[in-house]
Amino acid sequence: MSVDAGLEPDVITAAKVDALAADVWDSLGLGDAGPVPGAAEDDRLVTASVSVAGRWTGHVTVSCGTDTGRALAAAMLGLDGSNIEDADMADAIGELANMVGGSLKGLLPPPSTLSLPHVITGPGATHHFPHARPVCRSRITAVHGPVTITVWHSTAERIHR
Amino acid sequence: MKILIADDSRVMRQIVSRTLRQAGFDGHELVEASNGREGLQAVADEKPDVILSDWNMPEMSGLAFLQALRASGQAIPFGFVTSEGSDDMRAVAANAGAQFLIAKPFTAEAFQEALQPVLG
Repeated sequence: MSVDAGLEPDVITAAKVDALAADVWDSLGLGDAGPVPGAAEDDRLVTASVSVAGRWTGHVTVSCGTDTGRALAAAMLGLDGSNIEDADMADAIGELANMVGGSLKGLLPPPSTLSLPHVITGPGATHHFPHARPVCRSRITAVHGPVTITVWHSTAERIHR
Repeated sequence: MKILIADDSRVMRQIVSRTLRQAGFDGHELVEASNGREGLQAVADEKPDVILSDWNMPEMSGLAFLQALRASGQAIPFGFVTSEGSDDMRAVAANAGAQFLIAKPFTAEAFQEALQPVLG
């Protein structure tokens, strides 16, 4: 499911995030990715986040079930999917967040910086950003399974005024 | 020729290696480093002919890696493979002495275009 609900409706939209993600998936040989209706989340998730800091400050999270995460990692590494270690899964999902975040950064007014990825894994593993709110959520799927991409806009500036 | 791939992501090092082959640059020896500091050591140990480096890496960034190389008088061809391809970053890269910047997501054609002048 794609939901537009943003402070930056013209700059960051679910449709644009869908397109950025499709470019990333295509370039990595992960198949044709497209929007998918909401589906039940796996209990055990792998979620990667990167942060953008600049005139626009926020975060991008990429999250999927660990079965999907291992399948994506196997495809990215060119390996058999049956023996993917947690470190490689985290590396792969972190790199997807890095690429989607870097592409998103390209849509934003410069200057800004992009952080290194941070990855968590576990039951319901989800990043919490107390001073940010989700402005855009994109759920895409390709051959390896559904992935949710969320863009968070930081509200810290307003808090400090 | 010997190509050094510097990236903190093992997955991305693998993807860069695969894309080099897809771009027709197989048959070259590949060596790897996981950050700029390891890259500097690999340059000393392996004496690569070309360097492909990520920009954002822990311990030492790709930009600091390039600046350290050029400060020591080493003119090894250096290109960034990075998720950030803005005009500002391309200008910073060029001013620091990079020959090219390939932005992720990339294609084999982008590798061909950037590396053909270097690898022939």
